[in-house]
Amino acid sequence: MLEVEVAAKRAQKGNQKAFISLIRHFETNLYRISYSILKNDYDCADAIQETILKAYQSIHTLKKHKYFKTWLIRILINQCNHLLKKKKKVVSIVEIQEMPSTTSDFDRVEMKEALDSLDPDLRLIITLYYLEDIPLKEIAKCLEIPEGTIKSRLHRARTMLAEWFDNSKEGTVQV
Amino acid sequence: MKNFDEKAIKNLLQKENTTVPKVVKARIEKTLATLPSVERKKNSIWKKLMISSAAVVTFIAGSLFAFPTFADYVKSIFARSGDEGLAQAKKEVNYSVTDKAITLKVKELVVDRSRIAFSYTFQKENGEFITQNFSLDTSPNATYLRDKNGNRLDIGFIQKPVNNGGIFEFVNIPENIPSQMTLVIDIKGIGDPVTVRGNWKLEIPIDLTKSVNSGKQIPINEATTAGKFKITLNQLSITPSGSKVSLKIDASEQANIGMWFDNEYTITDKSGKVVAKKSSLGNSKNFISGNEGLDQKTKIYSSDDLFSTPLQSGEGYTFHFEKFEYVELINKKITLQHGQKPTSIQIDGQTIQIKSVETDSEGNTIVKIHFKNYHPYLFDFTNSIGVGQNYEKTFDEKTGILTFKILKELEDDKFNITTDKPFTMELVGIRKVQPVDWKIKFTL
Repeated sequence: MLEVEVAAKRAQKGNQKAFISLIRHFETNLYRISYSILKNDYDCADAIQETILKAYQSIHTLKKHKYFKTWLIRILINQCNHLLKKKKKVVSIVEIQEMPSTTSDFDRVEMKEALDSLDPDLRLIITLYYLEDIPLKEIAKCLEIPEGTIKSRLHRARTMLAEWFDNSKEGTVQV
Repeated sequence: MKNFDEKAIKNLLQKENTTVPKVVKARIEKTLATLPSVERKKNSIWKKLMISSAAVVTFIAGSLFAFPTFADYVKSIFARSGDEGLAQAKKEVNYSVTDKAITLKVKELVVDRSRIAFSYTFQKENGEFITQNFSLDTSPNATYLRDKNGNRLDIGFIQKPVNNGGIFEFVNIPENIPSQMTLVIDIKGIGDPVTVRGNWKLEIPIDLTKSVNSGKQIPINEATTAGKFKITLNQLSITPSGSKVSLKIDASEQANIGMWFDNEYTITDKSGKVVAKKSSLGNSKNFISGNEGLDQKTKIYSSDDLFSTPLQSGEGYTFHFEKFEYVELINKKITLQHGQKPTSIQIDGQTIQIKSVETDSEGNTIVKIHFKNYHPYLFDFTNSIGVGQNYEKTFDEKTGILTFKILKELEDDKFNITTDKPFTMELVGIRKVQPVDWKIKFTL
């Protein structure tokens, strides 16, 4: 079990191995969050690569070691948004190929489809709050949105998911 | 609409057991493998050997002291790597697999409670060696340890190319590692980027049972005081491949203790030769990895440092703790704004003057502060939403002006300091050096 705080401290002191172990520890989180924004594995790979390099270069700016994950996620979201902006310019020229789904059983496919049906903003908040267990205050800081707005978006996302599942059961879903 | 509350959504989401796809995983591994090294690069021993025949003669003469024979150099990748622990603790094995007319051979293995490593070669039919890492591009994490129930153990690794081969070592071996495991090597490509694709798979049994007796824990429990700190050298653990130094520093009497920096100590043998040194980054000797931390409740700092020097039973050594560095916290926050007028602030018993806060032509923020008495202060800058900033600082001793260049690094301005919003400068603390100069002689 990796002690994030200790590893982050060691990484900040220049220990490359500690930094590598931190990235490996959080790689699933990085993928989940980037996918919730970009919805394309190749773009996720690009965003995560840039995030790793940026985090490595600026690890000494990390203020509190225990918040390494939140700090890393902030950089990742920034990279994803940057990539989205760039993609808007080329999307009409290059057709983005979706990677085959990595889910393997019915429940996971259904959940993935439900999340994919949400607007990107709502999908990101659901991912950060429910999958990454990041407190509302931290999400608000990450996205620079008031906490109240996060709460209302969360409520809206829950309602939309409920509707999606209801429709899905009735066989009338339109994705 | 059905009741779709927090609990329901959490239950559903917990089923979402995400697997990182290969394309992403491969990119992560490739990025990690190419991170610029922070360690000093040394010329390989082999390279030195190749310089000239005269150099070879000198080198061999000098090397016989550390390693028994030149033949060992030729045969052993561990010996060629300059890692004394691996070279001395190696067990010769003979595993090989061939594909695409290239044979992967594993001939040296080190297995004990502190280190698990093997050396490998890739050799063509004509005898030519390929000096390449296992590809992380096609087979990320395809070399791992598996317990007897078939579970893969999550242990980090490092790869080190050595002339005509390479070394693969698992790092930070947990205390509770199973005694019996299988080392799985399942390579789909050679080189990074891949130069040859193929299938090279080996399964090598690992048995730590015997190594329990080959390792020794030697309690030292000697203590001293330095300033308000009590330092205890708890124990030394020795295995055939390395040595671990465990020490504690009780900082509970020191007010406002903050982050810890470098400990500086050496272990010398009877002849006065430094066999292990822990120091600031890049100046350590034979240091592999460390596990350290300051317990915020007890204010006790503990560290376990692993060195590649196998200290010898029955031999006498001297442990010399020279000094350590820590931060005495101040935690004074000051809000700054671009274009603000010069202001005086009382801080750490002196008046400092914020001279100016401006932006340069590249968008970096420049802060100039005048100090009457400058100490090795530790600063931190955060923007209006609390995002930490990277900076460079220079101090002009003649004028007493400390200049910060806070770098505008990220694309999105919400992560940067901007001219329209205030930002925070925190004087975190003062970096202090505590001299110790404590020597203990011990015999293992």
